[in-house]
Amino acid sequence: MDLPITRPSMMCYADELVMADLLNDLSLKKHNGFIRITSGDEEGFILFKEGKEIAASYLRYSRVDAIEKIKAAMEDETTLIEIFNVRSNQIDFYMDMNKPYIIGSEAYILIDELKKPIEINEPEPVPMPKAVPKPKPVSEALKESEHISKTITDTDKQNPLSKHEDDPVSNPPKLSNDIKTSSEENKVVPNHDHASETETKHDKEVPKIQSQEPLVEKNPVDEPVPEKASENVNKEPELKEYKVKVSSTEKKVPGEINSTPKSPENDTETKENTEAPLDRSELMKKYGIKDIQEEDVSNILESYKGGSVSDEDVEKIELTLMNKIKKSLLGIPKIRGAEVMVFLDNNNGLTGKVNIMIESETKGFLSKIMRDSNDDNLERQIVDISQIEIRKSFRKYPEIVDKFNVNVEIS
Amino acid sequence: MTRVITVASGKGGVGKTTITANLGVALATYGEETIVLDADVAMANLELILGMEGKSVTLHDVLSGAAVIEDAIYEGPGGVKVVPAGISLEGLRKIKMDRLESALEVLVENADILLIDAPAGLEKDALAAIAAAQEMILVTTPEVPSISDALKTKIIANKLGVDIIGVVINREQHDKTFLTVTEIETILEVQVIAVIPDDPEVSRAAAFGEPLIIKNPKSPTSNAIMQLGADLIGEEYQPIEPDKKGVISKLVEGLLGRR
Repeated sequence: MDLPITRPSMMCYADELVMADLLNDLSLKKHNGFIRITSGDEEGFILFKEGKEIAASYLRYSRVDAIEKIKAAMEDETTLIEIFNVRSNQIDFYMDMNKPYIIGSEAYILIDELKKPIEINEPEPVPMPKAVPKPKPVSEALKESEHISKTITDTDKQNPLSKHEDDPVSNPPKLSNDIKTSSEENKVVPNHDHASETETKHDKEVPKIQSQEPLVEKNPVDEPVPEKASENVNKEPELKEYKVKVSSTEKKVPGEINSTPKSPENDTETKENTEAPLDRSELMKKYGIKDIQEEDVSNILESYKGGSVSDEDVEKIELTLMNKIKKSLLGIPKIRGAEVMVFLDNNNGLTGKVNIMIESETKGFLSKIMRDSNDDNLERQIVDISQIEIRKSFRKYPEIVDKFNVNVEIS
Repeated sequence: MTRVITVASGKGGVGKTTITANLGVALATYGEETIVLDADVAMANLELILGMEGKSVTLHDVLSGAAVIEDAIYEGPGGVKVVPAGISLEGLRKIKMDRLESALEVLVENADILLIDAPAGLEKDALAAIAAAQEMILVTTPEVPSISDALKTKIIANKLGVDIIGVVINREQHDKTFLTVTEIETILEVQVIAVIPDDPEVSRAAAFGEPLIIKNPKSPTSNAIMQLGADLIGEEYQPIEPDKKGVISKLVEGLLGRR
């Protein structure tokens, strides 16, 4: 799809969020924009208008096929998901540009399926009976959070983020009511820690910026909601629920939405960032980039034959092959004794030489002088057995047998 | 001694082939005997960028054992030698990347610099292209997915014992929405050796099947690639300034018949 790629308002890997949560949340937020799903070299998009999915593409696939592909891509934990905001008045323009991808009713069945898991997860918080009165949290949460912030910490009284940060520590049941899935609370903590670290760094100014961040994030550019902040507090927890997981990227969002009056503050924030020395781990966190694990590296390299065999391996392979071939050869009744030598060369790809000396059963004088056809058959049999053993030893690369030279000497 | 340099990116579509093609031409114009090898046998594009499509013998044929590498070397624009991958998908199954090594041995004997355009991703063919080289140039755009993939490629290249010359940031825009040079250097832990601006001239040149540094040597992209080529071989490069005459003065000159 032709869509404007700017700085994403949020990004994370597929293993860091539940697709159903994301879709439901975007629908709650009445999101105008799109999400980009990147899995390896493959890219997919879902365009949203007022929170409703209106178009989808994945590589050359469109509509239902694209949704199916995206669904499959989400199963790969390395898939990157980015959310981009678009002004509501531009959505129709992008719809026009991407008419071939506009989804029909059949796609919504699939989308509904995608959204279902969150309904299944909902029963989890049910065991928390204390969290019955839903209207209460508005006033209570505010009061309590004020109280908590006074008693526990001396920072961020107004910061809605900090309220959530404090709540899980001091009053878990109430928070679990606000935030539907309890499992996510665990993930919330480290990100808040990160947020709090930055807060301490920036002293007085930063808390102000952060207190506004959630509002900017939740409301797409076109929705001038900041004044309704107090009303929105009720709805905030649900929205923050998964955003909090990617707190590092959240800070980028205000910078992008410059049309809101918060932009000057955001500018100062970005200036601070550029002036400060860059810490790699913080940057990686901020952009949701992960270092490849050692295990993954070795898996990738295993798929490639070159470089995967070390000199130590060569000796082991030689010994193993020798024993295997010898054992197999001694199974032939005509053979009384066998000596096998394997020489491998790992300089330019793995190649090998197998020398086999066979002592066959006693023959008559004539047959000793004249090499008979039985010897040829035996030699062929020995070569075949050796090649089978080589193939069995290199199951993933059976074609390597072509690089082995087998010499047989029968006495 | 011949330098074997692979141009890799991890993510596809970052402009790796365009940079390889133009860098090859740039090095050739400096007098270096340069061969550009398109190792992307599944998605060959190099020949399209250099206007060399439809060659009878390609790397496809070499890797499938139907031809020898010497027959797949063609003279390209600016004196660069090119080994096209071959766009046909026929015979793709017959290809054995193992044969690439022996093909490279021949190419190395005939060049000062061998540039390999590696396929995207980290599949066997991409790894073969990376492992075949002593040095690597990492191409990325200033976007998160492409930097993430470049990081993976860099780690794998290090494991394979390949020296990374540096990072080339392609399609740079003066826009705060993208990662900065410093951020990219910090994340990849590799020095940025060239920043190539986003330039519509690149697609225009590709449409004409002509390398940009020949079609439009004054463009910022051409200058950046020429500079990169010069840096690679320790040459001096004086950027070609674009015409500063205004549209009106050009029009007046045209009307007066002066050129």
